[in-house]
Amino acid sequence: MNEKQCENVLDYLNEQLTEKEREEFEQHLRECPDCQAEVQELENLMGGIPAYMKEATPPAGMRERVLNDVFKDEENEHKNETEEKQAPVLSPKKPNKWKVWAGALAAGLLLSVGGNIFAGLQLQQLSSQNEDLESNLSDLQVALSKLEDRESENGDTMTPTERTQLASTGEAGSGVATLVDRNIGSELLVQVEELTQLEGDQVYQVWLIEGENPEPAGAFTTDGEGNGAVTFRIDEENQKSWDAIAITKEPKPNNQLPEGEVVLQAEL
Amino acid sequence: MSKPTDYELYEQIRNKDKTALETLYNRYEKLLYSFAHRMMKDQQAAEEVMQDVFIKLWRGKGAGQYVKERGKFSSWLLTITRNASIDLIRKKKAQEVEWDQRDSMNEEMPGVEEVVTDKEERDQLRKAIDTLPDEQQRMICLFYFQGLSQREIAEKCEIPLGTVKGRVRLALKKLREHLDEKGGTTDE
Repeated sequence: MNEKQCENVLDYLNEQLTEKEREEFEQHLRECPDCQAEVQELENLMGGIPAYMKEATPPAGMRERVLNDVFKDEENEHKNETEEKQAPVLSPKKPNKWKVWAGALAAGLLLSVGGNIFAGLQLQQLSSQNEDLESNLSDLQVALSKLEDRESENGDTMTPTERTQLASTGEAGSGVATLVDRNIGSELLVQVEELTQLEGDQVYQVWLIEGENPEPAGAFTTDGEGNGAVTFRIDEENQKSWDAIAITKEPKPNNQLPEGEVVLQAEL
Repeated sequence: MSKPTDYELYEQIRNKDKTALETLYNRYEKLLYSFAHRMMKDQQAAEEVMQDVFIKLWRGKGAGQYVKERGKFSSWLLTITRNASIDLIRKKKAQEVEWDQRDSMNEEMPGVEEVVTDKEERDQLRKAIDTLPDEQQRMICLFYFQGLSQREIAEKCEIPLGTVKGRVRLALKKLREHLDEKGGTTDE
């Protein structure tokens, strides 16, 4: 057993052990003078190397980028991938496609009203049959948020895979949508400005569209100047080849299909 | 006012003192960036590494936690920079083709694709590595620069698992000897 542990020195130094293996090895390390000496020797040998490396000149602006990201990270905001103010005056490439889409949406909406009533009935039955449903759900949510916490601690790097300007359909407003790959799935970041003011329960709703099927991808409200932003996580299993993104003004939050008019849009 | 020590800065960083982090960043930007650049062979990837390192440092949890037992603060910073680099190499590599044995050592060895600058002659590491026998060069490349596991090294080099540690150790030791020799004569 111990001899086996002694074979982990290299993988320990290269952080190739799982958390459990590492803990076991560290435990072993405290008791094994041979391994202590070996780790120390290798660390010393490795530690001397950087001093002989050639100097490289940091790219311009790196300091600001790194430090900004560090401090932003603290606020737990990953909006930094989106761009600062730009005023895109891009018109959609194929406006006709949008008319078709809007038609399909209207049809889909009618279907969904019927569907929702049916689903609602089923849900009632389900919940009366299963009183644990809610507590199960909250357990799941706790587990999920723990997972998310752990994930955010990993400090994974993000690379924007797709970035697109959102064009206004007539009213004021502009925005940027960025798709960012994460370790698990990807994340959609949307940032808008100069949208018209919302009233009452209204929200701006983001939709990702595959073919003719829109899926809700986060909602937001705007500040006094019409600025807003939202991030939306796309799980690996929900990963699709999205054709377009749209933002509509919805009369109420949590619509599963769009009712309101499209205010910003872009093809992906 | 005298300059704060690294450790003093680190303590302030733990108390979320932004200025302290900035000071520490200024102090180590060049060293850590040079190192990350050498590991990643790519400017953007090196910057990603820098970001990762400083985010860890600012969060101060897990790998970003320094204790004096870990030795000198600067060595510790370099260690987490190396780990962050290896981590990113692994992530990037997952998308790339397998290491090809036909590739020359030079192709895989960090640093060669960099533009030649007036600092080039100070790259004693490159020179010292070049003087090692191929097998030792390869050990350093695979273990130190690519951060492979013992098993991966054994497979790539087609050597028994049990011999990897000894060979890596020997290669690092020889490298150190070469560096020490050269260090005394060429630098400054």
